[in-house]
Amino acid sequence: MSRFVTLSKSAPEFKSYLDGSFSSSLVAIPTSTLNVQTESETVTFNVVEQAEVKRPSSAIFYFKLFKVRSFLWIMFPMLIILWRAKVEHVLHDDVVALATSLGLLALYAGLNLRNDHFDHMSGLDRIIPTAGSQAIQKGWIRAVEVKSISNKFILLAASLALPCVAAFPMTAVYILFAFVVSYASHLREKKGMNDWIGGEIAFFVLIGPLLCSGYEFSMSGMFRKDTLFFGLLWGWIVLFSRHLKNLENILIQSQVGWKNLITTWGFDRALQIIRWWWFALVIFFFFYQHAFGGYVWSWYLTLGIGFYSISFLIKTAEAKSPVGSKLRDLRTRGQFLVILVMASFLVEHVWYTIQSLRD
Amino acid sequence: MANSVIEQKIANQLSHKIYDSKDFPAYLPKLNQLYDDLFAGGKGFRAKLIKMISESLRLDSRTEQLLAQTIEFIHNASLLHDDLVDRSQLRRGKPAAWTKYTPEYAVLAGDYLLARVMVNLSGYGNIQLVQYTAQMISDLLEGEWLQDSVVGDFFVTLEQLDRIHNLKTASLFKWCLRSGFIASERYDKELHHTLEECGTILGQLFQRSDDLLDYDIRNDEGKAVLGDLKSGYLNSFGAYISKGKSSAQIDQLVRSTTLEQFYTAIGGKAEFDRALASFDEMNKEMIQLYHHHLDNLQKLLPADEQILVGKLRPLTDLLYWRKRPS
Repeated sequence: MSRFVTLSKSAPEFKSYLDGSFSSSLVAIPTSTLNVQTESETVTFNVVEQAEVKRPSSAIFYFKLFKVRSFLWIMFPMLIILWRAKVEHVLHDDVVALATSLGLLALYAGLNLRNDHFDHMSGLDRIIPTAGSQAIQKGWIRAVEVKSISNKFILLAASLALPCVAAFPMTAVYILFAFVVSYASHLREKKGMNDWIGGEIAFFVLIGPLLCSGYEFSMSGMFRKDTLFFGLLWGWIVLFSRHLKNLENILIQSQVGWKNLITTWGFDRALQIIRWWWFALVIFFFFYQHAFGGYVWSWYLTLGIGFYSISFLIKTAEAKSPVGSKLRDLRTRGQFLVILVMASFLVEHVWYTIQSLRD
Repeated sequence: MANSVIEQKIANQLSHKIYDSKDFPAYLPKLNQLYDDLFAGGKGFRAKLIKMISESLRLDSRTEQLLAQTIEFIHNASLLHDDLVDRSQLRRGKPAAWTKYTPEYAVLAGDYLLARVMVNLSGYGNIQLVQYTAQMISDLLEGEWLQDSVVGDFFVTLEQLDRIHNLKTASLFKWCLRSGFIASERYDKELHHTLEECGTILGQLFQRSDDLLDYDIRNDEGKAVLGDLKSGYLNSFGAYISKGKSSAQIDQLVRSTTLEQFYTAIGGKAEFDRALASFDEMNKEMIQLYHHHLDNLQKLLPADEQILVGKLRPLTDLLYWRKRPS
């Protein structure tokens, strides 16, 4: 059985249909719309029996729900920093390191889920099909359940922060700073971090230098310049990937009125920004390696990345439409370059680990 | 991308003539002759839709004429420009305007129709109607621009094409449904949201049905097959059927010059039929949604206007399944 129900925002049962709390046996799946101005006022739900919703295997379900691939954005810098700290014997103790690591992962999971809940309740996932994890959109799980799981993870993260703060009380400053940045960019503005330039700057700070320096400090009590610069470089890399995704969705994002870097500058100039952003990244990478990695590493790794950048730059020239497949190809190519940079760091760290073990 | 001749299935005549040579200056050489050719061929389906709405809302004949003329002028202006952009030689079985006259005249004639629309609407005096019409023209042009930008891209997805068609095709259908209410100064948000969703679905179904003609599906009028593909454009059914195919398969698809070659490239006739059945099933769900929106529309209209819902219901049969109205 399936039936359609259209409700306006002013209807008393609207919120319960939207977050799924209206029934325990039925699921209300909002239908997507191509009319961006109207979606926020009225929503048509496809109401089906919970049993009729085809849910994938548990593995795929949780993989999609938690957006496991996106964990790469925090797990990679965490891996590098933890690795260094371990090799250089600067960890306070393993318990604090474990608590910090698990706490960050729990926080990331919780915030990701909360973001999906926000996208759903604001209507974003009805206009931009790729927004969110798809789990709510496909009726696999109710939005109210996602919020509940998100709260549990955030609470877990808060609990795991306690040993870190106990070990290094100044960690609380990092946590407070992160909260202030998040509040100013997301909660106060009631916008996603992707839909205005202020949000993108905040995201850069949170996922880049704050994550890296804060993570290291909470495990070692140390604030180091190379970690800070690594954080800045990492934030730049993550934003590069984000800009590519925004470019792929520039049409829809522009239609809904988002004002991030890509939509503000428009299609033609955004392609130039992407090129220059990558170029700046390569230069930054070179100087970072030169300062902290070594002369040989800086040249070899940068030349390797530079070589593979050529095809990416060619792809930026091939992109002629804000729809179509060329932007998808560009994003895929850009992701490959990001993986290459990450692989470079890994290779370098393996090398230095072997060297230090020999010593 | 050839203009659908579905208008030919509609037997009812318009009560008013859409184009009159007295509306255009006779001192401009070839202009009226060009418009005579242009308006003679079409059957004015969109104007018929306006008539349907106008009768149900009991609009005066002046308003009905204005709205019908507006939509047909805009639609035909887009055809004039479209044929030149696509370098189409024929329009409705006759030489396209840019080939019979000059490309310059075709462009200017299209622009003149749009200018005429603005003159007529601003004279009517309903600023909301002027604004909405201007927005619709803007959407139409955006859709045309975007469609041109994906010519030659055979990896475009159905979802992306839907966004283009929502601008290029559905915007006119939405206008047809909403303009009568705006002209009557009825601006209820829920009503217009419902009409907009109905218009989007009608536009999508119309476009998808037109795209199926390219593969000789329900092709009673004998439209040339694979015309879109040969023009370098992967239409909605093409995008649907090629989803998930490898680059080599898509390359083979694109090179098809006959349907038999296309079937072979897609994996056989059985595979083609399976994809068609799935495509139809997907559109049936959209039709169900359309009927749901009409049920809502019924609740939003006063009793004496609900006859409109009955008139709108069979449109999906006409536009998608190409069934003659009984």
